[in-house]
Amino acid sequence: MPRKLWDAVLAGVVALLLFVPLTGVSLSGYTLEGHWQRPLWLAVGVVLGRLLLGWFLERRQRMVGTTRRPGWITAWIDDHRPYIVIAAVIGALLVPWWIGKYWLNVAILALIYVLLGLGLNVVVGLAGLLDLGFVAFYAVGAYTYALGHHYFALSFWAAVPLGAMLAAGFGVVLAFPVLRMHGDYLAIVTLGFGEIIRLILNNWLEVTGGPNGLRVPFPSLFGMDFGRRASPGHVTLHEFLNIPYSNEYRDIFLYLLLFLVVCGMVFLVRRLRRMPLGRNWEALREDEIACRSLGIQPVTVKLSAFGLGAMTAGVGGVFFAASQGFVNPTSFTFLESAHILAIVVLGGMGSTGGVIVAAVVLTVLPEVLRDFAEYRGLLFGCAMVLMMMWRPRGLMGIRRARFHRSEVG
Amino acid sequence: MAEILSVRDLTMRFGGVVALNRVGFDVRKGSVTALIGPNGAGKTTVFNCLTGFYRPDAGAMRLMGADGVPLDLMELMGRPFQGSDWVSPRSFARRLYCKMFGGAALAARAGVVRTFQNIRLFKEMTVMENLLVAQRARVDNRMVSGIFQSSGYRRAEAEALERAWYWLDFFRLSEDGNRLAKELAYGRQRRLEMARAMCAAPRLLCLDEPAAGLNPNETRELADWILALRRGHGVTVCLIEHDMGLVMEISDHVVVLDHGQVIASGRPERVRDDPVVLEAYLGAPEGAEEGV
Ligand SMILES: Nc1ncnc2c1ncn2[C@@H]1O[C@H](COP(=O)(O)OP(=O)(O)O)[C@@H](O)[C@H]1O
Ligand SMILES: [Mg+2]
Repeated sequence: MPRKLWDAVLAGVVALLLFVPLTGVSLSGYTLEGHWQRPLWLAVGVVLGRLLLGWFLERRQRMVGTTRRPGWITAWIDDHRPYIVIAAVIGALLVPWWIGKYWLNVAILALIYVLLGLGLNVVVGLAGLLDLGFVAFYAVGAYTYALGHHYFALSFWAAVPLGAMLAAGFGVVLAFPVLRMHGDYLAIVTLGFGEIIRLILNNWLEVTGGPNGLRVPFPSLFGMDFGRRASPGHVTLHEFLNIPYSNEYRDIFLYLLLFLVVCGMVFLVRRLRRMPLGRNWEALREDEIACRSLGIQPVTVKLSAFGLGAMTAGVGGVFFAASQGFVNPTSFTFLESAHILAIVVLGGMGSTGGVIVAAVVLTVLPEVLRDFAEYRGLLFGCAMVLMMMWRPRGLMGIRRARFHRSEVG
Repeated sequence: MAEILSVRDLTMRFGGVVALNRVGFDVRKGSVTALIGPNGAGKTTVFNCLTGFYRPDAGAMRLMGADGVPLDLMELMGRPFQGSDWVSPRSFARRLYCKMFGGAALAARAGVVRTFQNIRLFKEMTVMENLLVAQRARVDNRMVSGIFQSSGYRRAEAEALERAWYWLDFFRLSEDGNRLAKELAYGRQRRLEMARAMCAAPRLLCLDEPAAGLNPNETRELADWILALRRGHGVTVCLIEHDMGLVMEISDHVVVLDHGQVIASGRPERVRDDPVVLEAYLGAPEGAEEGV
């Protein structure tokens, strides 16, 4: 205890020394004015903060090596998991019919972020490869559809697999040079890659249209259009079904389709985590040297994680382009990568459920709290720091596969 | 009995430091060979070379393959590119393969599996998952059959699980199967590391100071386990150890390293009584440094 007190007092003195010249004096006209209370309060704040931090670190120290008891939230979620999943699925299926066009678009965006979060979660959360340029693959997907339509009249249904494959290809190509890199270096290279892709899209005017972007058509369903009037050689959905026209149908359709894709991805990740490949991803995150000593090739494991992550982002990109009806490079800035990373971190790295919740919350919350838009970055930042310190594995914790001995020994 | 491993003239430098200087020794199949010597003698460096983590500057390491064909571990690790490699496509492809995939992973696949002086577990994974990761050769690696849980995949998975349970029982860790590796006590972590190494189906098991940090009881158990491994499972063991009691008890052959050189080798009792070895351990008398 005295040690911590001593630390706090010391921090307070240092803070006082710093804050007196920084905040204690201000220029008013031609005279200097002293505000002696300000630095004092700041220093008191620092002392309290330091005390709290010391207490927190000590508590953590004591918990090292002990089995962590799940909190009541985790326990409750674990007990009711099937009901929660069923309720979430039913809720997600009902939502688009009620909420109106504006919120429907928000919901589609939220689902796209869920997809992106799940993809990046494979790379960062499971394989432990910090990728700050994830948005590049998202852009590859979106532009596959946009450019493919522009030059080759590619349809949405062809753009999805093509975008996925192209993005995966880019992912593997990028992964090759960075195979030997770890942590910070990897983060910087991927960051650069993301910017390169965006700059190419921005500056290659003849091909990509540059900042003006490209128009993207809306997908059709079995050759039926969603518009009020059919394009030549097509019928429209409302005429075919003999129902009144509404411009919400297309968004509902896109939402449901996206929901299906997300479900597929959740299933895939769930399976992979219980398969050799998924276990190898996590093992690689935990200790690459131990992996090599057991005969696991980090090369193939890393490439597969990067490839799958990029593929998911590619699919997300195609959906993004389709839902917006238009793409341009401003949608693919570094901030977007940071946003997806925030989803993964806040969701708890490696936790599927956490990532889904975080993606939805981080997309819907800014829409609700429009008045606080200025403080968004600050709130995100604080939340991320707190998560990393307090619950790096997410609010819900991560459920690991449990094994039981079969009857026959 | 035949040698499973023969090391000749192994030399390794780090800048100016000669960590290994023409080290040579043999490991007989089915034996327990101990590598001893003072701190910094180069024991761990020998392991790092054997398991492909370091590329020795010179020397030869041959492992007797399961089929009786000797395997050149140096070749497995992939020597640096040479002029001729750029000419012949086959040689180039092989070099590239070794460069990308070579080294430790290939050595492990050839059957040289090791543990580490400072334990290296997959801490955030459960004990069982640690053991499953190690069973690279036994699991079904095909994506599609895994995603759709084909019967072949399920059978392979069940076999891997059975294997994992077997080694958990062997090292008396059965009740910890579903705990996270980081939650285990130190002694159990050491055991888990050995169990994991056994799951990788080693032919030559290299244990780097397995008894470090264990209490006398645990050390006793460890001795029994190592003897049982070698007797019942056909594993050849190569171990680095400071506990001379343990070394005397379980090893058939002892190699003593000092300053990167083999200063003595032979049967445990012989080595123990060798004045050169005593000198290396207890410090050289005044003026005896010149010869090193
Ligand atoms: N990666 C490395 N870089 C530089 N020096 C090393 C490295 N690994 C080992 N050495 C040096 O090699 C010598 C032998 O080390 P080591 O094999 O770890 O000894 P020990 O017998 O205690 O296991 C030491 O002098 C050490 O400093
Ligand atoms: Mg050592």
